Amino acid sequence: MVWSLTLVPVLVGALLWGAAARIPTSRSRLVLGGGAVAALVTTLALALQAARAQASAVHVIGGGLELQADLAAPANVVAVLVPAVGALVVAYAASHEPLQGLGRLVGLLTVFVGAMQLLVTAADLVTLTVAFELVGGLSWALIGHQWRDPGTSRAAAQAFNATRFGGLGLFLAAGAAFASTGSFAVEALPSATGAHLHVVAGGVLVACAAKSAQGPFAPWLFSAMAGPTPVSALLHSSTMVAAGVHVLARLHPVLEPVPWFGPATIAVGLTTALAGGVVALLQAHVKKLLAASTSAQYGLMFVAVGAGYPAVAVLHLVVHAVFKAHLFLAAGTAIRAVGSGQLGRMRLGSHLGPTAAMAAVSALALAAVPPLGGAWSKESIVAAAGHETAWLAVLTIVAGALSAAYATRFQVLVFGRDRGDHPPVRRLVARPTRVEHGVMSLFAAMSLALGALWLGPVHEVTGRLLGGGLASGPVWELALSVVALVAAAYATWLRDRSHQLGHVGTTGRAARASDWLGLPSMTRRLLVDPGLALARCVVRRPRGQRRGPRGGRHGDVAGRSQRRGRTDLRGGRRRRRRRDTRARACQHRRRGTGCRGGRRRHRMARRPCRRRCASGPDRRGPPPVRRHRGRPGPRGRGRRRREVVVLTLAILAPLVGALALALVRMTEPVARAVAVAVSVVPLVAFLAAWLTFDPASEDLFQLVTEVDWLPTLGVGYRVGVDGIALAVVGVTTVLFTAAVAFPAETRGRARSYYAWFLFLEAVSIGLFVSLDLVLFYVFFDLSLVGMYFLISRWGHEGAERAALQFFLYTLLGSLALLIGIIVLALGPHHLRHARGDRGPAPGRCGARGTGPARTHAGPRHQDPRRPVPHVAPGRARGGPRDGLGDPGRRPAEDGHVRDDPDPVLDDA
Amino acid sequence: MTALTVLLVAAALIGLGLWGVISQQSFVMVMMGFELAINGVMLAAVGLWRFTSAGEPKGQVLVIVAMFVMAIEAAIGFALVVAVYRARQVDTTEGLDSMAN
Repeated sequence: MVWSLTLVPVLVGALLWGAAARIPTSRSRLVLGGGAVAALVTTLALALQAARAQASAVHVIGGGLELQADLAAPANVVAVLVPAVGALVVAYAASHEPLQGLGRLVGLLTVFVGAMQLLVTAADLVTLTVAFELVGGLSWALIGHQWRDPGTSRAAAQAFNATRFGGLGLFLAAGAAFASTGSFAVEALPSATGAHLHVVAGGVLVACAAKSAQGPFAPWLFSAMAGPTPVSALLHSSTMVAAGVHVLARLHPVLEPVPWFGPATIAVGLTTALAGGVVALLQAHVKKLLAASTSAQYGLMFVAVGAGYPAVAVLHLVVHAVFKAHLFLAAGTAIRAVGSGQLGRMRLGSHLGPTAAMAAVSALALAAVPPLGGAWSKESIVAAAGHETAWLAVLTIVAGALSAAYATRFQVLVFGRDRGDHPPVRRLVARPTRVEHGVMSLFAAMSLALGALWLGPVHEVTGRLLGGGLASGPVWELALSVVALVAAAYATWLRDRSHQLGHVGTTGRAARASDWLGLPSMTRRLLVDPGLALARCVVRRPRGQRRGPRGGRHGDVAGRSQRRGRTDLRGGRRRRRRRDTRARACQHRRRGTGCRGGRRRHRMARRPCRRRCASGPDRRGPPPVRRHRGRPGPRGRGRRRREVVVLTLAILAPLVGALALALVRMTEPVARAVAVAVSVVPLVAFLAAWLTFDPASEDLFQLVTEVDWLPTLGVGYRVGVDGIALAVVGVTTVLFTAAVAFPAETRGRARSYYAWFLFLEAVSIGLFVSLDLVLFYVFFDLSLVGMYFLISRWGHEGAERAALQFFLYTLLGSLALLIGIIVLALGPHHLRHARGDRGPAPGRCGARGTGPARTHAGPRHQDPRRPVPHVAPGRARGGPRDGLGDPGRRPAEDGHVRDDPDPVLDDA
Repeated sequence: MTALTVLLVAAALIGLGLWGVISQQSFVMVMMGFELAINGVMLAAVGLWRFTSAGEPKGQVLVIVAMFVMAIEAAIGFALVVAVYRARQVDTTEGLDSMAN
């Protein structure tokens, strides 16, 4: 139930993004908006039900790791707020934003709501960290939505890095919590002791401050304003930045005993509230004014948490979310109406009457004018601060006065009466749509409805719901607040009368002050520039490669393809087939000697080859594949052989297919079909082997086939699987089938391409199932041959050289392997034991089954005619000593010392 | 051969792989860096298994699973690289500078 709060929006959002291309353009807004709103309303209903039922859920991953989620306070309220605000904002986005990329925007906004729900309901630090990072990543993707504008990507990266850096604090806190309590759950935290609890508190505070754009992390919120307006309204005013306050409120009972936590939180919050208020008065862009105001308001919430009233902070979070989202949406409408976000160019009161009136309600709530809800929550914060010290309450009142000032500034500059400063005839670029009006009126209604908080019963119920006390203070605080508020608003209005309000200095000290009082430039000088300088020293640019927007040597080709506009995969396949036709006709293209009289062009360049081809198309395939490679020879030697051919079938079938492809003439599509069909045979064989495999068997290997090959050397065709080899064979067959089926550029030699591929598949499977070292070596070298031909003939530039290099290097390695095998085969007896085989054959060296005493005897007499025992791929077999050591010295569990898994002896 | 030696080598491999992923421009080199990092992880797992659990199969299974992950991830990754190359004619990270919409 609780997980559905996350899963429903995530799945529907992903679906909307994926299917957006298939919706006809005329209905795109309706379908996307309708689908997203439906999903979020469903989430809202689910959240209400889960909150009422106080649901909780645990997802066990295993090994002591489990994810927990529940709807304890304050999650019960916030989990309802997030989809409610999200549904309204998504409706606005579907109606307001341009059509290009709308599917991605709406889809990601919906997915974001799901991730935010995960964060809100998280009940242990791992889930919380996961959700933190998810939300940060989604914020990056949403801010960078209009990626064509280069500044937007940079801004998205700045916002992401700032929150990510703070998120390290959460990693630290989770680690400390686990180290001290042995679990990640929030309810286990109270048992954390001493220094660990301090680390947890510090980490959580840093992470939450970064997420809520407090203190030194404040400037990232300005960068985030580069995103579309709905993103700012949902993420960067109501929900994502709310995560910081929510986590602090949730963990407050646990972190309260830490002595420095309260004062530190208050300090961070108060400085941000005051600085943000000042900075908001100096902004020239409407969204940045609102962003600074957001930071300031969250600072007030931090003050409430630090003062010991997390319920008050959450209450203000809810109220603030409603009016701030509305203000952002109103700003978005104004920006689109004027075509710019500059405050000096707006004053749309007479042009956008209804929008202005509705925005006035939220502006009044921002200014904390009684009897609106915003006023009640702000007064509670003042009261909470007053419970700490009186002067803290005074400072909070000052911050409130600043918020009144910038709220007035916002309303006057954006929606004030046009005073004729502008040209007399002003036509709006775009008017707000009906959906925008509807959404904004709903938000205004919610702001008005929250005014009911002033009523006694309502705020008592709210307090109970939020699980904490709501502060109430002396009347002088309320009186002082109102006085300060009125004074600030009046001062702003006076400044507007003197035509000074919209003017903001753009150079020198004024510019630095408006940019968070110089904080970003300090951060840049201290952190960013040294980091970039270090990176520049470390990175070595490859010779001759431009580091430009179009990439390296393929720059012109990329430009050409984009000018033609064929950027989809289907176009790629169409192009490939045409190229193949031309390539078949011209051997120069195939051999890579280039066209145009030898000047080397890139193979993918879509230019016809103009060189005269002296010879006709070359259609011969590669020479036939070597067949003699250890075919099953005469059987016997008194050794019973199992009637299992599954593995041999898996090896032989692709070989037969390769041979057929090499010898029989067929067209390319037929060749491809044959190749895919044949490559499925080992897959089927693997499935059959899997079904007949017995995991509880005592045999070391199953499905064994043995045929002697070189008896004097003891080399034979021996194949078999154990559990690991079977799984590896499974992966191999699946991957090979996929690789053969993948549409490839066969350049006119499709049959030989597929033939080599099937050969390689056969050899690879043989590698993994061989139980004889020499057989293994044979398959290994054959795979080198197959790889060489595949790379050199169907590779790109420099393929022949690359293939030769690969072959020589690997051959060198395999020669070392050969030396090792020979040494093992001919070396002294005790070396054989070290590899993990099971010791000498019982029949040769005396009675069998005499137990441990025998195996610890010295090196035994070596029978020269005795075949070399085949070696299982090194696998330890139990025992407490030396992991990879020499289980050969230790008998098998039943006490018998065996050489090879002879079925007759095994049964005994 | 101590556990510390093995783990140091594994950490070095992971670091090299990580550096390769971050600094390389060519997609193929990025994938190679990633494979190197996973190999470092596998080495660390094997080293820890060798010096601690001494023979229990569980440690090996982790390595085998990592190997499978590597194989499948390489297959899918290179299929994506080929698809991107066919669509956009680029094979470097710097060359990808646009999206569909």
